[in-house]
Amino acid sequence: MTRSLMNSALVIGASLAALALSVSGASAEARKLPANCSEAKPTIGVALPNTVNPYYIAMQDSFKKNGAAQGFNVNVAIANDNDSNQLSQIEAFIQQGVCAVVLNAVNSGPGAASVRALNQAGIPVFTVNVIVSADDLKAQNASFVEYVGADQIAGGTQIAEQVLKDLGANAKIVAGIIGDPDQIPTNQRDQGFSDVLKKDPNAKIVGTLNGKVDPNVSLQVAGDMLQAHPDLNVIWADTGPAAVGALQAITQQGKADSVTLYAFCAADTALTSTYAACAAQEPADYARIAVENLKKYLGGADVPPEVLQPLKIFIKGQKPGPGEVG
Amino acid sequence: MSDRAGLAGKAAARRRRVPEESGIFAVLVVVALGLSLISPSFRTVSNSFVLLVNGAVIMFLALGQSFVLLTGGIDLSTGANIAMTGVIAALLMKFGLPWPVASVLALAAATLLGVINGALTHFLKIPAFIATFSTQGVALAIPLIITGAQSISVHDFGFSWIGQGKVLGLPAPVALVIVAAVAAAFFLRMTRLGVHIYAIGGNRAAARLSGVDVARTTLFVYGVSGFCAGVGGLIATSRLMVGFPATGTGNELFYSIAAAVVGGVSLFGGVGSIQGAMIGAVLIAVVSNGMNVINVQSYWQSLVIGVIILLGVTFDTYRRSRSGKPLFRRNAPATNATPQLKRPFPTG
Repeated sequence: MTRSLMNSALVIGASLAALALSVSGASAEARKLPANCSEAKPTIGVALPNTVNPYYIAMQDSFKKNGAAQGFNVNVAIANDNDSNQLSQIEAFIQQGVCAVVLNAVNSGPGAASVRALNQAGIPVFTVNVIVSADDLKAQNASFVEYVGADQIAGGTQIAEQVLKDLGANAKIVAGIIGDPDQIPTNQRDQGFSDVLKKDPNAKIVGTLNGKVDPNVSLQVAGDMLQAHPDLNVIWADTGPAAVGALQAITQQGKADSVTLYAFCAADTALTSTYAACAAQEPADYARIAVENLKKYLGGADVPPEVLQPLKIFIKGQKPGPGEVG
Repeated sequence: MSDRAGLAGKAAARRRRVPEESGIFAVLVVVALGLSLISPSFRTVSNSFVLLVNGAVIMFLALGQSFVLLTGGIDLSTGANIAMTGVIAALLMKFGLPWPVASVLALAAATLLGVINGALTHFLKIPAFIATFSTQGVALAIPLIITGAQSISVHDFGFSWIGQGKVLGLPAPVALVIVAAVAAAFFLRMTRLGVHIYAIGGNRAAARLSGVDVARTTLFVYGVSGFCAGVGGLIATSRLMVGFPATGTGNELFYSIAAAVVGGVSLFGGVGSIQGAMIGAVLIAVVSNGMNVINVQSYWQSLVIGVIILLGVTFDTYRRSRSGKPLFRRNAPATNATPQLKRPFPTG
């Protein structure tokens, strides 16, 4: 099941590029924009999944700040992690007659319905952070202008290379994953991580447990994992909250010397010899890029169909800054 | 087997009654034995501690929930209460209060939320399901509003004792659960208020007419549930040393209700025991831990837990339907198979 999900994530990634290319091929002259875009201060709608995760708070603040800087009114809608909430919020944007929408879909597949509704209303769509499923877009004959987000697979790859570097080329590696198998981005991170370790004959991945992007759940499952595999020496936590929980599990079982944590960065946590390296996304940056490219697009310029930002890697002794989280 | 039981003497057979919780206990033993056979890592002492510590929060929730269920109510706000208590405690410590003071104040807030639940259901006659569902929303929002969804680190090292300390070699959360469960079990059996709780769940009108103070008892049980959720919040926060505004809002509420019901506490009130609820909670903890230890794929885990809850309840319902009937046909029929406390008042 995991494998098929990963495969579909690959397919999505590949066909996304092709699909978006064909979209941006439309020439600037032929571009027909909603009436609101010609006003002195056009309104853009921003749809975000939740404001429970600090990640989206950073993103929301950045949308407001950069939107104002570029001369937009910014209306933010929060879906409380519910796909149908998000669709009705998108429909509300359509009723308001906004100039453009930036969509951070709650889930990859259902997000396609939001894109299609906006297409039919003739409102340009930019997507951020969550990749809208290319299969579903194709099935509904829908398309967006641009996707901006982190290169998730590369994030996993970069960290796995750091593991090999830290432990040495010939070291025996027994790694466990605290992930979230229900989400595409986290599976992509795991895929990047696993692909590197699989090439190393001395490395073994014992399995993936679901930390549900929640420090409390991650603490519990990481505790179980450490019990199940006494020889474990690497934990890969693919989100910040999972890192917080896994780190506690390691120290509480007195294994700070024998198990090393690698992760997507936990907010506000310094790297140590136990928590050796992390990869950070920069949500505020993705919001800024999306707004700036939206401005260019409305001005008639062409924008790339996909902007994949590399991740920032932090190692022992460093500490991610504010807004730099996994 | 039945021969030997018959030979043991009719008088003894008449007195012997299988405890209400034996069915679910048998399920627990079978599951634990099965997992021990499958995985050597499961059957270690250190894993049992990890398992029990992980289950401690759900055990506390199930403990408090049992009080409410026994009166025929339900408390849906306990999961959210965990988050609220944890954030309040972390925040108070950030303001410089020593951890025992911060913990007591946070527990007071948790208990207050419970008492409010009781007041809403009793004085305003709002069905418990709706009243506690609404306060759940309130309790969920409070930590988010206070913190802006940022987590709050705890720097007072002493606080870590609640979730990470040891008492007589036992992890502190486990010791706390044991003390609380024993106290609660005695309380329900031995005190007047305890009997009143069963009475209200058995037949509210009859209890009132018999002089039971329904208002006080209702406020009390919801207060207990709030308090237990508060302890759960302190344990979760102390284990992470971070007040995280979404802690406890996952499966905790559902698992705690399931634990109580699997353990034989009736959703309709008046029937059940703390021992049963605790066995139910341990069963869920064993299954969750066991599946992680033997590396069951996460997509399957909720399915397995769902099936085990169904099996447990089915087994229990079947056993109950035979309650009052002779255990072995050859023996004389048991005269009074209904424990005195279970139905102190006629139902109707």
